[in-house]
Amino acid sequence: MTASPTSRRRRARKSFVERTITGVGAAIEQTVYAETYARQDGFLQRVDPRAKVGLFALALLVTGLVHDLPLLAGLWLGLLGLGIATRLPFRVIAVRTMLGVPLFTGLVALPALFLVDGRSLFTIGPVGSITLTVSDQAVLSVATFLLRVSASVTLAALLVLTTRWADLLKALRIFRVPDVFVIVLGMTYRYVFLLLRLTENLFLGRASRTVGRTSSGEQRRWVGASMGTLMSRSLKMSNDVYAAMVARGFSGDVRTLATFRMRDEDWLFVSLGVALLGLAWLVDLSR
Amino acid sequence: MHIPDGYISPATALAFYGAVLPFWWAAGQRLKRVLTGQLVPALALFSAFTFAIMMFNIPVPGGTTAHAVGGTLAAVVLGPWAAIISVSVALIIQALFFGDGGITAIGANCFILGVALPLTGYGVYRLVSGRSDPLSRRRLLAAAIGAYVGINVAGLLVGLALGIQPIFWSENGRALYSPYGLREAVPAMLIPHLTIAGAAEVIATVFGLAYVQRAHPELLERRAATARVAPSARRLTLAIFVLLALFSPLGLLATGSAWGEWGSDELAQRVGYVPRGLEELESLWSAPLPDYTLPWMTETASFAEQALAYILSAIVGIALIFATTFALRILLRPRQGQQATAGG
Amino acid sequence: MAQTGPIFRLEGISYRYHGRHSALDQVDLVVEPGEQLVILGANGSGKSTLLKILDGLYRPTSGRLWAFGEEITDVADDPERARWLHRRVGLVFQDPDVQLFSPTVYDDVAFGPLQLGWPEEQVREQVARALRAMEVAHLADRAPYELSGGEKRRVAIATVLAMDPEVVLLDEPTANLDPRTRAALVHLIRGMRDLGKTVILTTHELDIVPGIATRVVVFGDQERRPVASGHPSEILRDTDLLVRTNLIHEHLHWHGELAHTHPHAHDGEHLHEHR
Repeated sequence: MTASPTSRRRRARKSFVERTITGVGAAIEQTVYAETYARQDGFLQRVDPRAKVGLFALALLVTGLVHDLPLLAGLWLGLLGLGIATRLPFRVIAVRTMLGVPLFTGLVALPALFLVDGRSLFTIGPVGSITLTVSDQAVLSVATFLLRVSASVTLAALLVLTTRWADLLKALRIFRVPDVFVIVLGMTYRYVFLLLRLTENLFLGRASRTVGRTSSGEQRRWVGASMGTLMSRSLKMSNDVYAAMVARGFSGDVRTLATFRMRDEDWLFVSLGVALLGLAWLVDLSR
Repeated sequence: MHIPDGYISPATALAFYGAVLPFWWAAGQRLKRVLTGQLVPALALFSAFTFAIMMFNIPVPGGTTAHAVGGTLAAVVLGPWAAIISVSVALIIQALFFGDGGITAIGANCFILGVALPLTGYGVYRLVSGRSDPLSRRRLLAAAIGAYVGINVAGLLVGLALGIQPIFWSENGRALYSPYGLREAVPAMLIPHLTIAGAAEVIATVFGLAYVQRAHPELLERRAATARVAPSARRLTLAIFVLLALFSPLGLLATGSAWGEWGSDELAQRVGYVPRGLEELESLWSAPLPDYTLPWMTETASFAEQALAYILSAIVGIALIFATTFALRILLRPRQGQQATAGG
Repeated sequence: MAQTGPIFRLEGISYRYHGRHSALDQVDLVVEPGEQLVILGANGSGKSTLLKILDGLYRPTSGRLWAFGEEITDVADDPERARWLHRRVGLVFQDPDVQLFSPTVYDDVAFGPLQLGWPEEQVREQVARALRAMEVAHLADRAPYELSGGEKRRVAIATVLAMDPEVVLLDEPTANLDPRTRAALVHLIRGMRDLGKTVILTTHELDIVPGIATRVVVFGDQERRPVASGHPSEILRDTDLLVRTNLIHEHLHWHGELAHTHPHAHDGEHLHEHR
């Protein structure tokens, strides 16, 4: 949903119905696949989710702070290596970490090559009255931007692809995220699936009934009505779910099981990771 | 629309987390009182609903389609506090599990789309709709204006957040994060929001609300009757004022090229070329406040003087927005007990 | 389980939605310990509403209600006593998507025991036992959206069994299931008798009744109260009653030139002979 005007125009041929169906289907499929990889055996999959979430948060911070370009490149390559080491198919890593946000970022950053000021490297043109100058600082800026975004996206993708989402949720508690909030997140995620399926069915139903073109006014009324249907369904559902919770003794306070045990391997992972990230930071500061 | 990881510096991201937390806390406290035990399932289902409507492709004029956030719609039907939480939770789920929007940028995205958008949208909606019947067409018009203002405030904030990056975080002329300054980032975000994204948001809000008016009037009537989940219009007005005033000084950073920014004149001198679109955008953008300094200020005015002048002009601008809103209210006021049917 | 006398006693219970639409009208009913009671009724005869009243989720509009010898008419307004009731009476909702709200099957089954404040060890033991009883132990770490319709129903029942209630209320547990899944579920529900549970189950599917019920109460969809009660074989033979309460309908057949009508249940295939 990192929608840009360009991507909107490029896909404008398809109707809003087909595009919604495709989008919803892709979202469901993507998460179901992520669960499949998270269930497979692998080095990162085995790490305690709390250890993983904590270390990955630190890694995101370091990736955000680092100035040095080679260091950023090293971080990114290291993460790609980690992905392969944990037995994620290379195709999946490539799709997740190079298409999508990084590709979008590349397109976004392209004009910056000609806009950022510095020592001129080369000039294109003049074509007519147009001359484009690319400076050294422009190249460095764009490279820094792209590498930082790619490394961050790779980190996030590795975390999601190797952690079952129920574990990820529970691991949020180490950030002192309140239990109520964790429960709301989990329940939201669970009912997102239900409502996405409902959305898919609403749009499929329309696609199967629609022959030829419909007026734009009718289309908008229909979209409005679908949103309304979804809303009344969610409101009714929330009352029913509340009743189901009360029927099982819920009184407003949430009680949960602590399910994780940190093993020595997890401590090793955390301490090694912290050491490496700290070292990277130190190297960056010394440059 | 969503800010991905790596686009803004960790310091910016942290500042946004700091900005969004009080709103989450206040919303949580308010909702806990109103929903009591039902808090958890109600928020979960509201959030799931918000997530689902973000997946809708909305047909907009011109044959294209776009996604809507639905923040104003959620605020109008569920109440502004519930909207803050449900849009935020939907965004967090998107960032954590669906890879949409960055994890470090969660604070920024939630503040912009989950707090600023629904609050401005709802505030304008309340101001324009006044005491009209919750099922009247005037409410639809009010929601349309609210949704449009809300989504554009969000677009502006994203532009500002990205645009300040090269100003603060550059090293020897190398941008460390998003490389575009305010003069590129703000128009680049505002133009699509004024057009395509704005249209999608308005369409989703108006047609969604029209359906709720028709099929579930009890939802709107109950809200109008109790209005317990809603902060008063007066307090909302104040909140929006403070919000806008807080962000307006960001424009200060754009004063002059000393900050590493280029006007089209300077760009023309340096590059020998100005993209036509950029030139047009710039005239559009900088027309009200040429070069971000005020016409009556001398070139030699100190930074503090310029800052004061800028803040004052921001206050004038905001006051004008409010004046327009109230003028609309007066124009739309039903005449002598006549039912409000304005907006058709 | 020391009490003597009935588990539930209802006197003149009525319920109106939003004060208008009537769902139940003057219901009198007594449920004895150890019964496997099937409440038969067409859609809209108020069965689901009755179960929610029995579980203290809805407050009846009028009438009085006792459970385990204590009056619980107003229990919906008293969270403390409601928890006492929910500890002893478990309700399996008609829509399993409503009941399965946690990230995984294990979390869902553990939800009830955790709310009761049991120590962790006891919670884990109860969860394991409930998962085994419903034959879903292998699904423990699945997410609800990964389950089939039949699996969802079994997990939903397990979430209630884990709290070890004396009474289990089941709202249309076999709706929308294919025949084999339904048969397996009926088998599991019958197994609850061996666990010593009193079971009250609503349905409009006649074919599951003989396998489960020790007694059948028929609700009229016009009357919105019980119109008959008796042994399953007795009730299922009373064609007039079943037609009148909209549980079967007269079915017109053409077999070549021969036309005839015969009563016909709503679900499933049927075979019959012609003279």
